Amino acid sequence: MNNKNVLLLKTLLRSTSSLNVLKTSKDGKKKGKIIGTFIAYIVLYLMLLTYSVLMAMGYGKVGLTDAMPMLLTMILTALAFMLTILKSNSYLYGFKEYDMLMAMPFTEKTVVGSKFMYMYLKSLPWYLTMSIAMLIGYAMYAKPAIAVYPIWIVLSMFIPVIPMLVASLLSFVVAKISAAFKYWKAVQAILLFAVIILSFFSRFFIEKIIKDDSVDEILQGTASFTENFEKIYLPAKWFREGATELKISSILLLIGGSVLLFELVFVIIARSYKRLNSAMKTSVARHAYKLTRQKKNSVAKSMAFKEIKRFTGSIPYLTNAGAGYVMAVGVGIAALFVGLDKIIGAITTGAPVTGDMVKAAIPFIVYFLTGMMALTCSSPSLEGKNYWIIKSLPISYKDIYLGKILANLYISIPAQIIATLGLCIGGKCGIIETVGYILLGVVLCVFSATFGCECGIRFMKLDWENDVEVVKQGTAVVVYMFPNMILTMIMLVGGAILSALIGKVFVVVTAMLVYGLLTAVCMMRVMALAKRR
Amino acid sequence: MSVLTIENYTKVYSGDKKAADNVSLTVESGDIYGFIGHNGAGKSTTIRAIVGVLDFTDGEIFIDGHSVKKEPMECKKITAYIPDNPDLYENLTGIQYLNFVADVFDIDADVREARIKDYGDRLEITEALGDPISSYSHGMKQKVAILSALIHEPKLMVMDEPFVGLDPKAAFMLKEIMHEMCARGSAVFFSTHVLEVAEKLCNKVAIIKKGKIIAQGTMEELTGGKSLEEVFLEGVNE
Repeated sequence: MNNKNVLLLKTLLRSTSSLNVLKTSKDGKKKGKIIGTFIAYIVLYLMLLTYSVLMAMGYGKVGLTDAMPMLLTMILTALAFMLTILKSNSYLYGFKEYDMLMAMPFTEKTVVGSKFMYMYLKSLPWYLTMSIAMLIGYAMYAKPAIAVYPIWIVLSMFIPVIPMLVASLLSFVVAKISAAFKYWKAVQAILLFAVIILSFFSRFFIEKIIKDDSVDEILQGTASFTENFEKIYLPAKWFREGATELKISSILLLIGGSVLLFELVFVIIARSYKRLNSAMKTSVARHAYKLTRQKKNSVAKSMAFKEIKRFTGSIPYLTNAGAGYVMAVGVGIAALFVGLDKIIGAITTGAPVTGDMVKAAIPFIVYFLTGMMALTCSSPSLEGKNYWIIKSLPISYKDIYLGKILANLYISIPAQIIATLGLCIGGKCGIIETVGYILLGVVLCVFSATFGCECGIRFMKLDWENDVEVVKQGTAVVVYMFPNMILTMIMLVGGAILSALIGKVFVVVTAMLVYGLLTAVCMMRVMALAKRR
Repeated sequence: MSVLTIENYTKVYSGDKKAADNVSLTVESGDIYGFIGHNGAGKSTTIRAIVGVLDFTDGEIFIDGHSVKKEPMECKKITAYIPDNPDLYENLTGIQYLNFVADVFDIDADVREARIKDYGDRLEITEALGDPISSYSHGMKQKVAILSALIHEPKLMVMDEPFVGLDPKAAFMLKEIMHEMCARGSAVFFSTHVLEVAEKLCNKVAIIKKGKIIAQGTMEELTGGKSLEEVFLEGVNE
């Protein structure tokens, strides 16, 4: 990295740093909010650290101590790759200050390279938290030399670099292909969804190659498991040998390989960077509109329409918030052809579950995908600088947020119903049983949209530079995702067990009542919070 | 001496829409060159190509003899660009942003201090430079963008609607600064919708319509005793 890279990177970090605002702002309320968010993040990091330490201790207990470096590489690689696919296009291309930066004496490589480094550094604290947790677990069981600690931490910072670079290159290919089309946004969204779905399902394929079919064999044959993964992905071997055996050649290979790949990827991207951005920063205007008869709608419906246009008009918003819906529909359609058992078998390899037990969990399996992200978490913040438009219109706060919830439901309910129907048909469920699961699914979607809206208003952030800051890194999203995922997991497992013990009807009715009640509470909070905004 | 030369510049967007069609013009040292046209006529597209943020389909653009396509860094070092709606880093303070730009252009501390003080005082923004840009009004952001453009004393200043949002005193000051720059041998190229401003300020003007230059030259040549507004309306209504 040259001086200009460092200068630009430093400025990018400073320009989005809340600490800079804390230092320079005179607005007490703003400062209080920043401190609150900072504390919330510390709590989240600690929660993640605790969870990851417990997971690492579990690995140690079942005799997977030697496999820990490789497991860390696997987790960080998968996370870094998936997250970069989802966000790299909005970080690297068509960003807000593109004109300003490109008009300055920066080369294309400096601009795009610094933007990549910025994206990397923003996610590094999450990756480091997991690395430290795994190191704690490893240290407890392996009792390594003192030198292992700093080298593990330093080398683990390089683990996400290679998958992030590969994902960036893949996103570049997607962007380059789509830029050739008139409606490039639609083409890019379709291609990105295809990459996301392929990457998601390739996990099962890769696991199949590595695991030789059963969980037991992994536990018994740790050495062969490690060996197999290392054969497929060399950086895992370099990390293990570098961090635990302190092998200099492996340390150099991991660091040198990352740096070389960085240079290579950005030399390639820089060559077409301006052309790509030129295509992405322009939209097709036909100027051929003829005024036809217009329709009158209710305020909430109009608001919902506006929200859906916002959703479909932003690629990061569409791909991040929409991936779950697309995957749910994909799983539902797949179940029609391969049956419920195969789908469940692929997810729960080796787990002691029967097809009948799983049926009661169908709404939760689908909701795990449709509810993993709610549009309403981001939609209040995404108003951004346009917030004045809805604030200055004669619309009640109730209509504003009902419109946002309605837009979420327009998208989540059809996805939930299609996926549930697919799984029910694939699982040969009865008609009444299917109707019950669909109704429960609808209740879950309403809960997701309402709870998301509560988080969205509570942690509303209007001064952002890029959609990704709201959609991917927003506090509202994190606060929504964690409890929602934990609750869904509990309901998923609990639903399966309780249906075997007490019966499916009990599970469905109880879940509907519980989620209905939670929705009512969230709705009351939404209205109270909205009134204050 | 030519500071900006545009030769047969053409920009075709995906499909077949020509945003700029065979545009040619020359801006000499000391010129204040007005670029006028309707909304969507191709002004901003041309300006973005000049400053190197937009690639183009055909033609060549030279800044002080350097090709924008082949020597972009040489061109950018001597050019300043002020967009119509500057997207500055909102969480930085005004002074942090100006230091960033000064670092990019490698301006010595003493020189940058003197220039920030001089232009900051004249634009009446110095006292606000310690506050985050997010707290600024549109006009204040515009002033910071102007200040940042002047920090390296560019040979060519390119501006897209520079007077929008500026208070009358700042607009007057900007016009003065433009004259001073030209007296030093630099040149100014800017787009505007305000024909009165263009008429009083510019010595040369080009009118663009649907991507094509329909008239250009010195103010006297172009107007020939009529007002610029009359000439413009005659041209675009043809």
